Amino acid sequence: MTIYVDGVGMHPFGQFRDKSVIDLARVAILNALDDAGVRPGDIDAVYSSNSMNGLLGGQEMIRGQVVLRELGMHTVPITNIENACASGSTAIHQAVLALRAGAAKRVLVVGFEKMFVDDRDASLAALQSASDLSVTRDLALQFTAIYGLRLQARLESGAVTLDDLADVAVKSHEAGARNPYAQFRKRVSRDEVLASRMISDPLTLLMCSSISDGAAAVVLSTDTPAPLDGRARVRVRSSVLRSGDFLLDAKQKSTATLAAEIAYEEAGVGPTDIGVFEVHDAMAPAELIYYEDLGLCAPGESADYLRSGMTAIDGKLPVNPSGGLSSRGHPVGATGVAQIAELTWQLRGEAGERQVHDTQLALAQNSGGWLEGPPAACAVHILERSAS
Amino acid sequence: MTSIPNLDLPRVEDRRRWDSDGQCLVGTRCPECSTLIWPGRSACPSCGTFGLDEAPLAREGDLLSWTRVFVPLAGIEAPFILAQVRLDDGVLLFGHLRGTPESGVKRVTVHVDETQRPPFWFQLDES
Repeated sequence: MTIYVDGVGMHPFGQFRDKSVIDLARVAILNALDDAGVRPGDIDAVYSSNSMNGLLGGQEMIRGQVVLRELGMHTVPITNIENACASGSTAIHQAVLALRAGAAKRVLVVGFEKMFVDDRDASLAALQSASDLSVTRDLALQFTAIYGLRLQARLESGAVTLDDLADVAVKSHEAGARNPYAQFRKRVSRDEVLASRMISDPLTLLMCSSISDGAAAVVLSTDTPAPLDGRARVRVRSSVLRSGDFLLDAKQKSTATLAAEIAYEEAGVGPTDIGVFEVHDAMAPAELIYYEDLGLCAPGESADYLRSGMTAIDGKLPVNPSGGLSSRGHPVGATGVAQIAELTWQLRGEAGERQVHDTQLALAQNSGGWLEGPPAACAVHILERSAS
Repeated sequence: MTSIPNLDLPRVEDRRRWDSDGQCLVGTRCPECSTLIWPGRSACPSCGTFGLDEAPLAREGDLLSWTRVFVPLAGIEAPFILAQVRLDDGVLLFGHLRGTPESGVKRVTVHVDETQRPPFWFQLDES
């Protein structure tokens, strides 16, 4: 069975104080339906991803139905998905499973989030709930600190330098500057990154993703005829979701590595076969960790790999041409869906100023939540451009 | 009396997480494979055995990594230091750190005081 990405669409990520989650999601859905050349009535199941509209919007239940009835989708099965920052990729995964099971022929996945609610403490508290609150409530846990912890050890060991950390942020902002959907569209210098306000050692403000509003949508189908216009088609080669593995010993593989290994096996490819990556850089320098976790380079060699220029937009293995979470933005429930939208545009050659080299295979990695070591969830998807 | 199995298991909320007399954290140990974990669980994350024993954890360990956080949250004053620690019995922990990690000292001791927030922290052995 072949599963195709028939259409993708987004509402730009950023701060949209006057827009509701329905306003945001509507744009992404309409754009994805248009891109797929289908109407609401052609969709026979919906997977709706949102993480925070319960705490921040008060809409604890049926968030998907509330959005989708605006667009005339109300009788098909609508499933609401929450898996912290990995909600979007989890929804994609569920859609793939439904298609594989034959329960649906054409599925809409939508991810939407509204994090700017004029109450910063409420937004931060909602984010903190992506951890086990019985452990973290008294610790003032922020996710920036988790990435700070991971990177501080590498700095102390000499594996990476502060300049490396800053250079990833420079690279992300360069990509974001070219992306009309990105929250941060301003190029920055290494000095500006290092001089910006310290958030959590060694991470400065310009290395971190911000709270964000936005939406993304994808139409997936199976056994559907090729488009008549001869446009390149993108298919899903792997869809893998894993939950946090408790790192009982220091040598255990990370959850991202475990998920990626299954995804590579499912697709019958290796990391060097992939031409473009979107990874979960909630803080820009986390990209370095994922170079190693996803097998782009050997453990301990991520800094050299970055310095080689391989992962820049014009490199051989570009990573986060969208600007990633740190520059495109990270409206939590939309991020995993936006990664699939970006990679679909990249594989089709429709990514405009941020278009990478001509490539057939792409990989998305999206993590969510945190259990005092491993992420609570991690999904990896591999997409391939097929010759219609 | 009930005929429903497992209904009378002790409440998770009542499971001890620390011991201020012993100045240590309390987790669970698997009676089959000896895996220690914090916070305690009902089943072993390593082998799946159900019915774990309460176990005091080591009082000392190694600092794996740290970060000084400059953004206050939930009434805790910034800056403060968060740290990842591996206790001498192998348990991986996350919590607040007191001391000066820039000193290069890597040994820490667990402290417990339930009147404080957070109720436990790691103290760098700098003296």
